[in-house]
Amino acid sequence: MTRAKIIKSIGIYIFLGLLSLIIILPILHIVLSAFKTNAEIARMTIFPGSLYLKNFKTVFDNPYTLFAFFNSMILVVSSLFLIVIITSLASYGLSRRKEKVFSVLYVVFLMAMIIPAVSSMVPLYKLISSLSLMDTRLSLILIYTTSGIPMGILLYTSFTKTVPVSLDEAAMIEGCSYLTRFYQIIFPLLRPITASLIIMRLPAIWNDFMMPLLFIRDQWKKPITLVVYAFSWEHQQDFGAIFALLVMAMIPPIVFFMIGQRNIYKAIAAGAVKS
Amino acid sequence: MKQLLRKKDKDYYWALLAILPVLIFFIFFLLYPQIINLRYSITNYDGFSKDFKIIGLSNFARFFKGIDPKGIVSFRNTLTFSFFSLLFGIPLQMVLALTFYNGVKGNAFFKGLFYVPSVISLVIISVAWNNILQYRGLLNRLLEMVELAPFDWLGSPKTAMGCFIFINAWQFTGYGTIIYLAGLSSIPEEILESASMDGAVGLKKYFYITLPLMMHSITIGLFMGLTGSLQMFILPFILTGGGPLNSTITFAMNIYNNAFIMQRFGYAAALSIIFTLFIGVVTIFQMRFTRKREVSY
Repeated sequence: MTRAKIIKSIGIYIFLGLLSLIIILPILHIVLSAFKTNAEIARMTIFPGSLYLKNFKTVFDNPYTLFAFFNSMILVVSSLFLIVIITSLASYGLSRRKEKVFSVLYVVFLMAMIIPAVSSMVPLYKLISSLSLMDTRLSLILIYTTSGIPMGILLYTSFTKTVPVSLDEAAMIEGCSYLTRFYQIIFPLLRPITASLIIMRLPAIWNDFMMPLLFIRDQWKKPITLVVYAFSWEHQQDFGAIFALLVMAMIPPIVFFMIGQRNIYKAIAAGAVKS
Repeated sequence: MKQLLRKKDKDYYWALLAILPVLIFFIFFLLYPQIINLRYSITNYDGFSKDFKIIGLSNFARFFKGIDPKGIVSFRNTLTFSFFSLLFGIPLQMVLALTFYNGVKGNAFFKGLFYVPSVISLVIISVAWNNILQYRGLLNRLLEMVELAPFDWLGSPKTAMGCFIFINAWQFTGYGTIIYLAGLSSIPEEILESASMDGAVGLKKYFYITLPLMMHSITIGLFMGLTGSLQMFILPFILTGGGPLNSTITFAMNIYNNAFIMQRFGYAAALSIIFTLFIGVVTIFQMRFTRKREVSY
């Protein structure tokens, strides 16, 4: 290696190192503070004096917080299930049929991407209350399912086009009905794109705050984001407990990311590269 | 064969039927809400009472004539937030993408590390940064250690928005990097090699050869960045409540406040329509701008 090259690579590592520090410091601060006593937090010591676990006990003693994980899980699983089922089935027709009505519907579904969620909060509040769905988890499931439509349609339609039509024709000759044809033959082939869709939508649903803020009042129905918000108001003097809850709330998405890392990059790349 | 054709016709109706569930969700929870917006935007509805009347376009006038003291301010704040978040975020993400593309040891580690903040809920991020940026927070503590004066970062109108811009750029560094890295990796190596042989090197090569060839990823990156940052709600909602002196109130927050705190439901509906149209125009303009610069090879 030449000298210039060595200097360049040292420079790159200094740049990456500094940036890593800036990126990780706030997260590390949360984790470290969760193990501090409140006196230590007030004094702003950098490291906890000892492994203090009472903060986590405070969180565990609050039944709502643990239930919130369950609520978030319900929201994620049911919304994703609905998104996958309805958009994959719709996309089968959208990608196979040549009639105009299908291409028009396809464009209309995709255009929904530019309607901002913020513009929907006022009318959705009205709609959800007139459907008597206030304070139900179902209201959120319906809204999250809808918000997954554009991406679901986009991914499934473009991917189904790559599945050879000869497969459909073979099944047709066998006498399979439309639904059997789709669920038995086409849908299993769409597995990679189903994984991508789930990967892309899961964090958005798990992390959403605005919709639960509007629709959920009942302590037992709040998802984790809303509980973090409420908890940090109620325990303003008990920062240690807040940090402990933040740590617990961070774990599921980070674990999910670490498991699915490769697929997450791939899913993002699929959108960023012209096919 | 004839039977097969008939079956194909039956398929047409099946295909329509299969689209129905999506269509129902779409109409009910996406299209109909926008119609509700249109209906209430021309009324003085407060959100609950039954007697409200049609007041024409006064809600829209309220915004455009600046009668709402927070209307134009929140719009300007939102643009500032978006513009600077992207201005600082995108170049950094592109430099990182280029660094990873050229390959360094520990590529995967750094990529993963930078990506982590973007999977964490903004609520958690806000609470954490609040503890860092408040007057008796970590940042001032660190400043004191090097004998610099502490500062009320979130409490001063001069710096509060700057903090938000920083937090947003901080959160999405890794996400953007992955997008641009995908764009870079999709360029066929032969093109870059032959460009080098033709004498294109360094920045010149980057701006004239590489950048145009990865334009599609820039279209996507800008789209994600714009639609995300223009809708910013959580940061001001949790960290500052829109203050100090309205310096951080965003358009989304102004809609929320008008609808659910000040009981100006009709006006909030009008703001929502203005917002939808604005986002629509911005994204269409942006798509056209970057799409035109996409080249094929």
